[in-house]
Amino acid sequence: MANVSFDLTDITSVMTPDLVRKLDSVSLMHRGRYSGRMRGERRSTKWGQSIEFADYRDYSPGDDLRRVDWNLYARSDRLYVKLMEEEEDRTVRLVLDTSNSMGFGTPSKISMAAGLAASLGYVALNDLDNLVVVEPSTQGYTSSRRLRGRAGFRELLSMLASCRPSGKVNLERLLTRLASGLRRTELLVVISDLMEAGDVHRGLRRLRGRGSEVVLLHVLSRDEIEPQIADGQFELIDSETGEAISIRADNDALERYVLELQSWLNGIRDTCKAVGITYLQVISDQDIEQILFDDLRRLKVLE
Amino acid sequence: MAFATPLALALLLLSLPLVVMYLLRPRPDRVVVSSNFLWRNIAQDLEANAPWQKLRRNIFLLLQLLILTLLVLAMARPMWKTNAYINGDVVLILDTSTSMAARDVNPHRLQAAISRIEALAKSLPEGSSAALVTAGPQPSVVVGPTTDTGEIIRAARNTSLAYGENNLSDAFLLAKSIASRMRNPTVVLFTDGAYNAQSLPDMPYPVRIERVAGDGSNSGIVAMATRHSSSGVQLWISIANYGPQRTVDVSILVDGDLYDSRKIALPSDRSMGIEINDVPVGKVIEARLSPGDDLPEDDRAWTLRDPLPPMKVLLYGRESPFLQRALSLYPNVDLYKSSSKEVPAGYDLYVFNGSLPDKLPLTGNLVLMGTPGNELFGVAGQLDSLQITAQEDHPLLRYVDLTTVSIASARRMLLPDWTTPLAYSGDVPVMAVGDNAGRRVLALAFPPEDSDMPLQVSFPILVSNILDYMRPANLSNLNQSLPQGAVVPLGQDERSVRAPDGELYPVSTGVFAETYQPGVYEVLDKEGNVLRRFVVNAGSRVESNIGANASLEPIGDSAATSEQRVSANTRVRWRPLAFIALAVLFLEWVLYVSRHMPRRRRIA
Repeated sequence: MANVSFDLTDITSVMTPDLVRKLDSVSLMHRGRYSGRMRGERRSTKWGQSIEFADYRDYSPGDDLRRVDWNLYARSDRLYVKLMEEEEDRTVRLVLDTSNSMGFGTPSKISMAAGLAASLGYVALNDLDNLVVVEPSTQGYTSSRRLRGRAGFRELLSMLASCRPSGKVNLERLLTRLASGLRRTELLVVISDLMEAGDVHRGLRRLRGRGSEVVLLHVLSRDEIEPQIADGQFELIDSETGEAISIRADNDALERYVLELQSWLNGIRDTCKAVGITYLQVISDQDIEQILFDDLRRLKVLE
Repeated sequence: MAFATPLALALLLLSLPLVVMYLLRPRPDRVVVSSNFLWRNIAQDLEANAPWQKLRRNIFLLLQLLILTLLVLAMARPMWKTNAYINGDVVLILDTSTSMAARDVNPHRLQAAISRIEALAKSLPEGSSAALVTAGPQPSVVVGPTTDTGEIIRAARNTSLAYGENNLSDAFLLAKSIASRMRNPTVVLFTDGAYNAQSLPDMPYPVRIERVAGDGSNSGIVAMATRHSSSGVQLWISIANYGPQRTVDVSILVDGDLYDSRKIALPSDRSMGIEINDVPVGKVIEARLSPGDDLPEDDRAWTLRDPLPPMKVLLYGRESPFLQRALSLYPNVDLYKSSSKEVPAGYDLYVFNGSLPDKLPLTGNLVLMGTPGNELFGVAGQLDSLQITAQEDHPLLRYVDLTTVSIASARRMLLPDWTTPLAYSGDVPVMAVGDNAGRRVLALAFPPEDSDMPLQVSFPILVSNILDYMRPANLSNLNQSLPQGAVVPLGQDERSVRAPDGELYPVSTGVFAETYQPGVYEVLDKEGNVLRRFVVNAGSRVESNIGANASLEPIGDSAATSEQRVSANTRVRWRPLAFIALAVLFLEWVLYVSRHMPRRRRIA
């Protein structure tokens, strides 16, 4: 289990012109209504001024007479006001796990996570969505300023290049606080290995409970999926907590690890399915284009 | 099984610290992982923080205990009791005589003896040295004292049959010389038993006999000779049967063409003679026996007789009609008589009967029969009531039985050292022969007419033997049958010899000794012209009698046959154990490498 140091200075190399050209042709899913801050291109939870008809309601004194449907008044002799769809901007929040465990794998999980964040962020900015990058911190999490439009892409890359896998993360607390801090429905993309002792399931339920659309990209390394370890006595040191566990590795131990891993993954999948979270397991050495244009398209995260 | 150094077994206690090492928990390798929370749930059984751990079934522990046990056993030098009777060094004597070619054991006796030698060499105690001596007609030391048993085995495997009678006397002298430089030596003789124990030299070391013989039977041509008679050349063949009664066909071939054929019934353990008259002179005569038997080597024999030059014989002394008649009947003999005080010179053979001239002649071979004392030997009185025992294997006494001869009186001869007694009356020699000053002398203690010998059938044979034996070398006929291994003197013009198989042997030393093949040999000059021929025959009464070894004669006081092994030996074997330990060590290394190669586990 090698700990590969993470360096995002070459994150721009991930965003090749070819990939960017392909990303130009897709957009992030929008299954429900989102509440934004300003007029945008996403259907809002409010009635608005767009040209899309939504509904009728009885006229009330004070309503704008320009909204009265006079044709309907002629037929029914009653005054109705036309309600139109409101289109507001949408906030896409990328939750990027930068804990120490994300620095493992070949290539490292954080490099895959950053690549995915940059790609999805580009699509969001291209769709004129608001983009916020959330990183864990000792206080819980820190959010970047809202980025909007393609001009924000350079800042996004700079932001991703500056993050380093370090420290430990209580993902349950992060997700719980994040959920409680949401004022509007958003699209939340969580990119993490979920390797932490807290109850991630509860955090995911809370996050989904706020009505936001949640996509979970579960990044694991090949060594974690297919453990490669020699027989013998080992002291396993947790990269985040420093906790040591002495084990005697042999065929039996490896078999039991694999069973434990499968059980854990199944648990996460079940939770996501139960609460309506879009779940995708990603291995750090996978082809990013395959993830973006095959797996995420299949899951209708990208359209 | 016992141990030479049993104290080394105490090293087995090392297995305790070895087990303790497996009870101690090894210092683990520290590995930083992304998160160990998945391991936490399964580490209940795997986690080990105590310095001790439960002793599990570990293949490496078992292998290391096995290696330790093997090494300790090797150091303890385990000993096994073996049937070998050798406690020190050993001199191996391998009989390579003709009888060892007998096929009554598979494939033949010599190979069986070689197998016995291999088995003995492999069972020798550690550090013992061994030597190998072959006992053919000309014994030789094949391998000197060596501790390399493999060299002994290889040399034994390369030993071939020498043909001819064994010369155990010389072989024993060689073995005695080698054994004198050895530690606690034992002499082991591998033979089928065809030897005369009385004629062997004293052996101060234990001698053991490994008998290699089956229950074979054999009939063979043990003698074949020609003689000139009044009716021409007469062929005489002696066929011995050493086995149950059987009938054989005897074929006579002259220069390869069938000349005569006879069917004869051979009684059990008896020999029979065949006489054939008027065989051609100067041609190769071959006799063949059929059907075959366990020793085919003696089923063929050859002889040839070229015309002899005449020999001048002077008969001096008392009148003896029998002697005169016998001498005159012998072809190619010019017989003269004299009784004067002085004998003329120039005769090839002088026969003095009862009296002597004043002075013995200076040249020519001498036969002295019942003569008084002279310058060659003295006489001290008379002998009465003689009972004769004779050495019948001497050419002079071949086919002559003296034991039935009655002698009225004889002189007590005082013989010099250069004579060899051939017949005794009690301890007193009555017949002796020897070479003195370049001439051959035969002394008989009585004149023939003082006995009934002239009336015996064997008298003319004795006279014939005397004339053949006493014939001067320049008049001799070397093309008579020779035994295998005989040394043939060659003349100045005789440069090479062609063996029966056609191989040409250049000769530069004046003698030819490669006479091991039975058959006809040709002596050639430098141009390749055949100057003369001689024949070599395999059959002999000693070698043809392959059943004579049924009961071996003991050699010395300490002799014992292989059936009489009296002491068991111990043999230390530690190298195989050490080798197995090394092999197990290698196996452990292979297992360790294969188990400690990192492996992937895929999720189904």
